[in-house]
Amino acid sequence: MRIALAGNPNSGKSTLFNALTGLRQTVGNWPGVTVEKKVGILKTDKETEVVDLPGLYSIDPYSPEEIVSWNYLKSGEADVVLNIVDGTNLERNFMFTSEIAELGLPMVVALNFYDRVKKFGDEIDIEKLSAWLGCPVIPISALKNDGIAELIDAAKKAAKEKTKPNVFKIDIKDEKDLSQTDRQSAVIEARFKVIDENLPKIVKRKDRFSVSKTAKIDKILTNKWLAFPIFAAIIFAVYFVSVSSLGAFLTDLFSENLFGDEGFFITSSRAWLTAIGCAPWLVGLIVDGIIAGVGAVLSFVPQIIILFFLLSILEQCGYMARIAFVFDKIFRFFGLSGKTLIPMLIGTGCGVPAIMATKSINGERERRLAVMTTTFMPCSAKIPVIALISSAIFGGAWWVAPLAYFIGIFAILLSGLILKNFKAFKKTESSFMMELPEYQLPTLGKVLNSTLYQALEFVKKAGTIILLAVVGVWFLSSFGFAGGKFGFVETEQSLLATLGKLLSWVFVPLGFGDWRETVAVMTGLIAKENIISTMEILFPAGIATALSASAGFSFLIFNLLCAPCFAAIGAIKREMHSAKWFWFAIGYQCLFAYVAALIVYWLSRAGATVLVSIIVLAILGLVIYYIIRSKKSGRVIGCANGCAGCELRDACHPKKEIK
Amino acid sequence: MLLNGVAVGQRARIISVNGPEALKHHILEMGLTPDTEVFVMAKAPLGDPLQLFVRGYQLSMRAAEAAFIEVKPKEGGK
Repeated sequence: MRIALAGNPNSGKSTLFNALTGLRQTVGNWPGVTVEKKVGILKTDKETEVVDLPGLYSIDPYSPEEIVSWNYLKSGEADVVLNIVDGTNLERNFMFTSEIAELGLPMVVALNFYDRVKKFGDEIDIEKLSAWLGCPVIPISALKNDGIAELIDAAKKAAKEKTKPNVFKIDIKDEKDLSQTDRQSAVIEARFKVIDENLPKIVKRKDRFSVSKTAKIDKILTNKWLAFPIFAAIIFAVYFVSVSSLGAFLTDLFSENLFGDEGFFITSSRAWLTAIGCAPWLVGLIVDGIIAGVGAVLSFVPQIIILFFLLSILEQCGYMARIAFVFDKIFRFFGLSGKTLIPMLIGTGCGVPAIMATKSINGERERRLAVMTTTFMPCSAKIPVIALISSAIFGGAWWVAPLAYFIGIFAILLSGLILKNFKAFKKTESSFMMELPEYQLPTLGKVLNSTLYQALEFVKKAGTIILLAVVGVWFLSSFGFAGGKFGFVETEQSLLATLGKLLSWVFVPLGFGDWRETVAVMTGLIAKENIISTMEILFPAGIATALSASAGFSFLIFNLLCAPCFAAIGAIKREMHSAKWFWFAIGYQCLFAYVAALIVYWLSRAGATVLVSIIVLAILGLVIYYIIRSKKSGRVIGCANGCAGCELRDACHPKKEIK
Repeated sequence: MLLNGVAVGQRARIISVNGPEALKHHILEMGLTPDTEVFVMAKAPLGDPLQLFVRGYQLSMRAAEAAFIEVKPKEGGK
C-alpha cells in the first residue's frame, strides 16, 4: 500500500513523516525534475510506503514543484492521501484540503497540534468536522507521538473501503468573463468563503490573542531596541560553545588522539599493516592517504554536531523565522532576503546543509543569490586555514579570525549589490510572505533527530566523495616520472607538482605563484582543511618562509572566497537545477575571490594606512551611491525593479493614492 | 486605504487584493481574502516587514506586498 503525505508548510508534516517512518527514508528526485522526493517505509508495517509531498499552501499550476505533487496525486499511484492540517490554523489549511478532496482519492485528515488546540481552549467537534469533510478526522500530536496508531488504522481502512471525501460546492460569479488567472484567484476566494460559512458551526475558538504567549515573547525578541542585542548575544553563545570552547576542545581531542601523526588510528594501523607484511606503498596509501585524510574531515564531526544541535534548537523554537523577519530590511537593500541569514548562519558550520537551507527562500532571485554566495561564510573547515595564516604570518593576531567572518559577510552583501543589477536577476520576482510560527519548546528527540541526520550526511560525504578525492590526491602526490620512469617519487617530482607548476602562473599576480601554493589551493577543493596539511608537507620549514604578509593575506582571502569544496559544489549543483546557473555560480565565486585577493595583495603592499583609507572610502562611496540612486528612482518601499514604467507604480506610493 | 498604511495595533477589513498574478495568488492562499479581518501586530525593528495576525496565525509581509491589499480600517482595536 502507498500513503501520500500532503499538507501546508509548518503543519508538522516532516515530524509526522519521521514519526511514521523513523529513520528509514530515502531522498531522491521526482522523475524529470530536481524536486526533492522523500520516501519511507512505515515503522509498523513494512509493506506500506509513505511518500512525502512538498509542503504547499495550494496547488499553483505554474510552479514545477507543485505540478509534481499534483501529477503524483492524479496518477493514482497513492492508495490514500494523508492530509495533515494545523489544528490551530484550520481555515488556511482546509483551503488546501478542499483542493486535494477534488482528486477523488480516499483521504484521511490528521488534525495535528491537537494538544495545543486544547491548551488554547478551542473546541473542535470532530464528528461534525468529519461529516462535513466526508472523511475520517484523527486528532494527533506528531511531536508527542499521540494518535499515530489510530491514524495509520484510519488510513488503511480508508484505502480499503475507497471512500471519497466531499467536494466543496464552489460558485463563482460571471465565470465566463474571467481570464484563467483571475479564475484561479476567484476559486481560492470561493473556497475560503465555503470554509468561513461552515467552520463556525464546527469549531468554537477562543480569542487567540489572550491565550498565545507568542505575541508577548515577540514583544521582547523583535523589540525595536532589544532585537539586535539579543540576536548578537544568542549567536555569540552558539559560536562560543560550538566553535571555540567545547567544540574546539573536542575537535583537538579527536584529531590529536585518533587521527594525528601520533594518533591511535594512525600508529596502530601502521603497526598492524607493517606486521602483516603490507608493501610500503600500500601502507602509505591506507595510513597517510585514507586514514589521515578522512580522519581530518571526521575530526570536525563533534564541532558540527554541537553546532547543528544548537542551530536546530533555534530553528525548532521558532526563533530562526524571527531572525529573518528582523533582518529583512537590511538584506533587501542588498537585493537579498532576510531569510538569507539562516543559510549564512548554518554556513559557518558547513556549506552543504547551508546551501540546502536556501530552499526556504521563496523568491527565485533571492534564492539563487543565496546559493551562490552562502559559501563565502567561513565554514568550520576554513577555521584551521585561518588559524594557520594567523599564527604563521600575523603572529597569532586576534583580529584575523573575526576579520575572516566580516570578509564573508561583506562579500555576500557586495555580491548582492553587484548581482541584483544583472539582467537575469532583475526579471524574477521576490516575496517575503512567511508564516511566523508559534514559539514552542523544542523536544530533545526532534532536535537530536535532525542533528543526527545532518551529521550522518556529513559523515557519508566524508566516506564517499572525500575518500575518493583523498586517494586521488595521494596518488597524484606520490607518483610521478623520475629518472625516466614512472613510479613512487618525492612530492616535488610528483604528478601533482607537475600540475601545480602548469597552473601556478595564474596566481602570480596574487602574490603566491609558487607551485606548492597552487597545489594547496587545488587540494582545498576536496576539503578546505586539506590546505593546511598540504602546506605543512610542502613547506617543511614553515609557511612564513614562503609567504610575505601581503601574500599570506591574499592567499587567505582567495581560499576563503573561491569555489567551495566538492561536497558543497555538489550541493550548489543540486540546488541550482540548471547547468547554466551552476557554472555561473562557480565562475562568479572564483572570479570574485581572484579580484578580491588581487586588490588586497596590491593595496596591502602599498601600506596599511593606504589600504584602510581606500577601503573606508570605497564603502562610504558605495553607500552614498546607493542612497542617492534609491532616492532618485523613488524606491520608497523597495522592490528591486525601480518604478519607471512599472504598471504597479501607484500601489507602491500610497501617499499619491490618497490624494 | 492600503494595508501598509494601517498603524500598528489597528485592525482592518480587507476589501480587495491586487498585484502581479503570482503575488496576488500567494496573498489569497495565505488566507487574506476579501472580508477577512487583519490585525497589524507590529513592525520589524527597522520598520519593515509587518507582522500581521490573520485567521488565527501570524504572518510577516513586506510593506511593498501589503501595498497591494486594499483595506478599510476599523475604529478602536487593541
